[in-house]
Amino acid sequence: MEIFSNLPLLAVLIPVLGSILLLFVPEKNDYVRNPLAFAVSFVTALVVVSVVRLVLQGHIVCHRLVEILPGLELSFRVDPLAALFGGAASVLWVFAVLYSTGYMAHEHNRRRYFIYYLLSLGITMGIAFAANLFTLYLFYELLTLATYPLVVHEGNEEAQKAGIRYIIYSFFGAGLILYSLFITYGLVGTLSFTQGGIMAEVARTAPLLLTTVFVAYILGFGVKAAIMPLHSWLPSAMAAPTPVSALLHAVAVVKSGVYGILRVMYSIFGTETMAELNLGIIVAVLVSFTIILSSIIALRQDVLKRRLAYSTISQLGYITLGAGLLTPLGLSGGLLHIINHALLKITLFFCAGAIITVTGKKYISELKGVGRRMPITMLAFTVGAVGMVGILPVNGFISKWYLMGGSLEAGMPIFIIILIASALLNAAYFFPIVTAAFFKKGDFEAPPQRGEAPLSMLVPIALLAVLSLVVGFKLDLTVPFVEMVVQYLY
Amino acid sequence: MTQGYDLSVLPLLAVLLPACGAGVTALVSFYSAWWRNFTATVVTAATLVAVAAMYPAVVVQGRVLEYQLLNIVSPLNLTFRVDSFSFIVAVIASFVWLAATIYALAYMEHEENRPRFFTLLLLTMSGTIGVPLAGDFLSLLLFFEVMSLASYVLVVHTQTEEAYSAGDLYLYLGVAGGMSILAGLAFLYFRNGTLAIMPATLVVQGMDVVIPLAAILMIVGFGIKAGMAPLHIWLPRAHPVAPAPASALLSGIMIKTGAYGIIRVINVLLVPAAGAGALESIKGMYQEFWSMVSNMGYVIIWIGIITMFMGVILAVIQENIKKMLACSSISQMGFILVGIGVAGYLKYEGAMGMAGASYHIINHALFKSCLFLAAGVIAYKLGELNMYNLGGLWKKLPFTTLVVIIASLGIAGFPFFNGYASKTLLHHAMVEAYEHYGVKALLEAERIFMLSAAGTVLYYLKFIYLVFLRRPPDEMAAKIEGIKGEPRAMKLGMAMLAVMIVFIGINPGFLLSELIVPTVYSFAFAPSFIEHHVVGINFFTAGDILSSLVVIGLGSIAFAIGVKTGLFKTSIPAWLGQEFFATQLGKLLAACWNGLSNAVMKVLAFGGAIFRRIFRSSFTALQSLDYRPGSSGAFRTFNLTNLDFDVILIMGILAAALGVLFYLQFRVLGIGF
Repeated sequence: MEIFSNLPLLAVLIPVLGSILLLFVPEKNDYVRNPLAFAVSFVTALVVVSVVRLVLQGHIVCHRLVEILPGLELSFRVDPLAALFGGAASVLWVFAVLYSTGYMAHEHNRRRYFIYYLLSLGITMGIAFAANLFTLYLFYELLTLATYPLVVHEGNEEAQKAGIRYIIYSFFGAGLILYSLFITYGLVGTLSFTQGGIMAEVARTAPLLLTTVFVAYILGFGVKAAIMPLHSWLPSAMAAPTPVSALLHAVAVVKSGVYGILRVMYSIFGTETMAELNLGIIVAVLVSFTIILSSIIALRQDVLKRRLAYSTISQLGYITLGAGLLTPLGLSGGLLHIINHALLKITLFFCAGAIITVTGKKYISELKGVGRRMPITMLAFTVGAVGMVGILPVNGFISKWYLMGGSLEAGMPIFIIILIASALLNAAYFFPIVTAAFFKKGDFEAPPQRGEAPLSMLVPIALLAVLSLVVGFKLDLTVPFVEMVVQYLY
Repeated sequence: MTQGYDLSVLPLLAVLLPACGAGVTALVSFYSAWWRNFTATVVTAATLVAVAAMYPAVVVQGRVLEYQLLNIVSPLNLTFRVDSFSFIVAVIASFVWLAATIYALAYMEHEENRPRFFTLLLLTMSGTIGVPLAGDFLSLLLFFEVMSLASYVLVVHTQTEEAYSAGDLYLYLGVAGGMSILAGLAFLYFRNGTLAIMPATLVVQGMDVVIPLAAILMIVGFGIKAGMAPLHIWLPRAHPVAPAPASALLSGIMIKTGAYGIIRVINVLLVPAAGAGALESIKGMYQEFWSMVSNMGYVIIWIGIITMFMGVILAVIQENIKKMLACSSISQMGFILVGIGVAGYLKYEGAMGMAGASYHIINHALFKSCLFLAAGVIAYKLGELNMYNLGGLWKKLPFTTLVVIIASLGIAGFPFFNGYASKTLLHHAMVEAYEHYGVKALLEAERIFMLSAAGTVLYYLKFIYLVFLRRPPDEMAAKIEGIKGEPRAMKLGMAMLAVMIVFIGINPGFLLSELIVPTVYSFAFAPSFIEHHVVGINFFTAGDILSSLVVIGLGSIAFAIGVKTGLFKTSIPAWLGQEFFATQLGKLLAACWNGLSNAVMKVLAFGGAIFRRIFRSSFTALQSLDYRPGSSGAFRTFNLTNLDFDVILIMGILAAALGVLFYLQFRVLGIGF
C-alpha cells in the first residue's frame, strides 16, 4: 500500500542541512563539530529506520518533489529494496562518523571533511530512495562530486591522481547511464521503477537495442560497482583517509553502483524480460571473472588497504552475481551480501585505520605481532576475515550459502566452483595477516606497550565485529527482510 | 532395541560449557594462574559429566536425544541429535580431554602464553564435542570449523618458524576441507531440502549424480581432517609441533572427527533407511543406493590400506618421537578407515567393520594420547625428542616407562591390552570382506593389513628400546642422570588413560556389549547378523591369539634384525621421505610459479611499454590540439595507461579459462542457454 510521507525527503535534507551547519563551525572547534556531525547522522538514521519500519509493515513510502516533464520527475519512493540499501547505509554511517571523529582528530581540514561526509550521506539516501531512474541518476552524479573532495583529502600527488582517475571513471560510467536513459525514455516514455519492469512490451520489438542498452547500463553502474575492467579507480582511491575508504569505498559508493544494477535489472527490465533476452548470464559471467581475478590480484598487494580494496571488488561481484543468476535464492544471496559485506568490510577497514592511527604502518609485511599490541582490533579483524572467507559462525557464510543455492536453482553449478575458489583465495590473502599479527615475532612488544586506538574508534570496531557475529547466528535479523525484498521484486 | 526420541538440553550444555568456560578462563587468567587452572579443569570435568549423563538414555535405553535452537545459523536450526555412536565419540573425547588438561597444568609450566593455551583448548573442546553431537550436517560443519580454527592456535603455540609453517599447512588445508564439505552440503541441501543426518532415501526418490557428488566432496573434506592417504601431508608436520597435551588431543581426538564425518556420510547418508526392510530393500528400489555404498566402501577399504601401510613406513623411518607418533596416527586411521570401508562394502552385513572401527576409535584415542603425553614428559624433562639421542630413561622415569609400555602393548594389539580387541574385530571384518564376494585383491589387502600390524609392533619396540631400555649415549648420559621423576599432574593424566587401556584390554567384552553393540544396532545393519556375529564374540579364541602373536613375532624379528644390523640408523634415502616430498614439491611449485610469473612479468613489461608508447604518442597528438595558451595540460594527467596492462593480460588468460569452463557447462551438460 502506498502512503505519502515527508520522511524520505527528510532523510535526504537533514544531512544536507547538517553539512551546511558544519560550514559555520570553525576548523579548530572540534567540540562542536564532532557531536553535531554525530547527531546529524544519528537523526538521519532514526528517520531512515522509521521509514524502514513502515516498509516492513507492508507500506511503500512515497514523496513527490517536482515533475520536470511528463514521466520525468524528481520523486522518492521507498520500496523494500530501497529500505534495505538505505537502512544499511544510514546505520553504518553513524558508526563511521563516530569513528571519523577519532581518526580525523590529528588530520588537517576537518571542517571540509565532515561537511562532505554528511553531504554524501544525504546524497546516498537520495540514491536509495529514488523513485525513478532519473532521480537515481541525478543523485548518482552528485555522489561523485560530493565524494571527490574526500578522495583527494590528503592533497598530495597520489591523492590528486586518484581523484582524477575517480572523476574520469565515474563520469564515463555516468555518461553511459545517461545514454541508456535517453533511449529508455524514448522507448517507454517513463523511467519509474515498477515491479516486473517497464520493458516487457519493448522487449519483443527491439531485443537487440535492449541488449545494448542493458550492457551500457551495466557498464555504467559497473564503474561504481567496480566490475572489472572498470575497477581501477577503487584501489587508487584508497589514498583517501580510512573512514572514507571504509564507508564510501566499501559500503556507500560501491553499493550505490550495485544498487543501480539491481534497479536496472529488477525494476526497469524486470526478471521476465531479462530471462527472455538472456541478459542475466552476461552479468554473471562478467562478475564471476571479476570475483576470481580481483582475489588473485589481492594476493599480490602488500598495502593493507589496497588488499581490502581488491577484496571489495571481489565481494561486490558476489552481490552482482546473485542478481545475475535471476533466481529468488540467488537474489537473496546477493541482497544478504549487501548487508553482510557492508558489516564485515567496514570492520576490516576500521581495523586497518586503527592500525594506521596507532602504529603508522600501512604495509602488511610490517604487521607481524601487531595482535599482541592491539588484541581487540585484531580480534575484530579476525572476525571480519573469517566472515569474508565464508566460514560458518560469521555472517558472510549465509550469503554464500544462498548464492550456492541460487546457482543450483539456475542450473549452473559452475558458480559453486567459483564461489569456493574465491573463498580459498580469500583465506589465502586474509589469514596470513591474522596469523602474522598474532603469532609471528615482530616489531611490536608484548603487554607493557599494549595500546589500542582511542575509544571513539575502538567502540565502533568492537560493536561491528560483534554485530557480524550476531547477524551470523541470528538469521531472523536479516533473512526475513531480504525474503520480503525478493518477494517484492519477483 | 527400543527406538524413540527424547528432548534433552544435555548436548547443548556439553557444547556451551566449554565455550563459555573458555571466556571465563580468559577473564580469570588476568586474576591468577591458579584460578585459571582451576577453572579450566573444572569446566572440562563438568563437560565430561554432562556428556556421561547421556549414557542411561542413549545407550542403555537406546533412545535418541534431540534438541534444537531455532533460527540459529543459516537457513536451518542449530540441532543436536545424540545416538550411541555420537555418544561414543563425545565421551571418549571429553575423557581424554580431561586427562590432557590435567596433564597440561604441569606441562605448560615451561611454555609461554598459558592463558591463551587454556582458553583455546576449551574453545577447541567445544567444537570437537559439538561435531558428534550435532543433529544435522550444517551444525556439524559449524562445530567442525570452530574446532579447525581454534586448534590452529594450539598448533602454532610455540610460535617457532617450524610451528608457523606447519600451522599454515594445517590452516589452509583445514579451510579447504571445510569449503569442500560446504560445497557438498550445498548440493545436498538444495537437492534434498534437508541436511539432517539420516538416510537420503527418506527424502529422495531414486538416485542421481548429485548425491554421490555431494558425498565425495564431503568425504574429501572430512578425509583431510582424518589424515586419509593423499591428504595426510599436513599431519606429520602439524601434530608434533604443538605442545604435548595439544598433540595428544589433535592426534587422539580431533583426527577422529574426520572419521566420524566419513561414517556419517557413507554409513548413514548413503545407506537406505534402516529397519526390518533392510534385507528386502537390497533387492528393491534402493538397490542402486546399496551398490553405491558398496562401491564407495570398496574404495575406502583400499584408501585405508594405503593409509595404514604408508603410515607404518613413515613411522619406521622417523627419528623424532612425536613425528613417529603422528605417522603412527596416520597408520591407525588407516585401520579405522578399513573398518568403515568394510561396513559399507558388505552393505547390510557390514556390522563387523563398524564394530571394529568404532572400537578402534576409542582405543586409538586412549593409547595415542597416552603416548603423546609420555613423549611430552621426555620433552619437558630433557627438551630432546630424537630417539637416537636418548636412552636408559627407565631408571629415571619408571612411571612413564610403564605407561609407554602399556600403551605400546595396546597399540601393538597384544592380548589383554585394548588394541587387541579392536584389531581382532577389524581383522575379522577384513576376512569377512574377502570371503563375502571372494575378491582376490582383498586377500592381498588382508596381508598388507597384517604386515602393517607387524610394522606397528616394530616401531614401538624400536621406540621403547632406544628411548627407555638401552644404555644412554655418552653425550646425553649426564643430562639424563640429572632428571627427577614426573610432576604429579602429569602422572595423573597419563594414569587415567593407562588404566583405561588395561581395563578395556582385560574385559574386551564389556565395552563391546555396553557401547559397541548398541552403536552397531543404531546403523542400518541386519539385526540378525549382529546377533550372530558381533554379540557375544569371543575375543580369546586360539586362532585370534595366535594371529596376534604371529604379528608380534614378525614385528619382533624385524626389530631384532634392525638392531643387529643397525638398519634403523641407515635411514631410508631422503628422496623416499615424506618431508622430502613436501619440501621438494614446495620447491618445484615455487620454481614453476616464479618462472611463470617472471615470464609473464617480462611479457607484461614489454607489452606495457608498447602500450604506453602508443597511448603517449596519441595523447601528445591530442595535446597539440589543446590550443589554449597556458593550457592546463589536463590531457597529460588523463592517461589511459592507468589501466594496468598486466591486469588486462591476466584477464585475457582468465577469460579463456573460464570460457572453457562455461562452454563445458553449457554444451556438455546442456545447462544454461
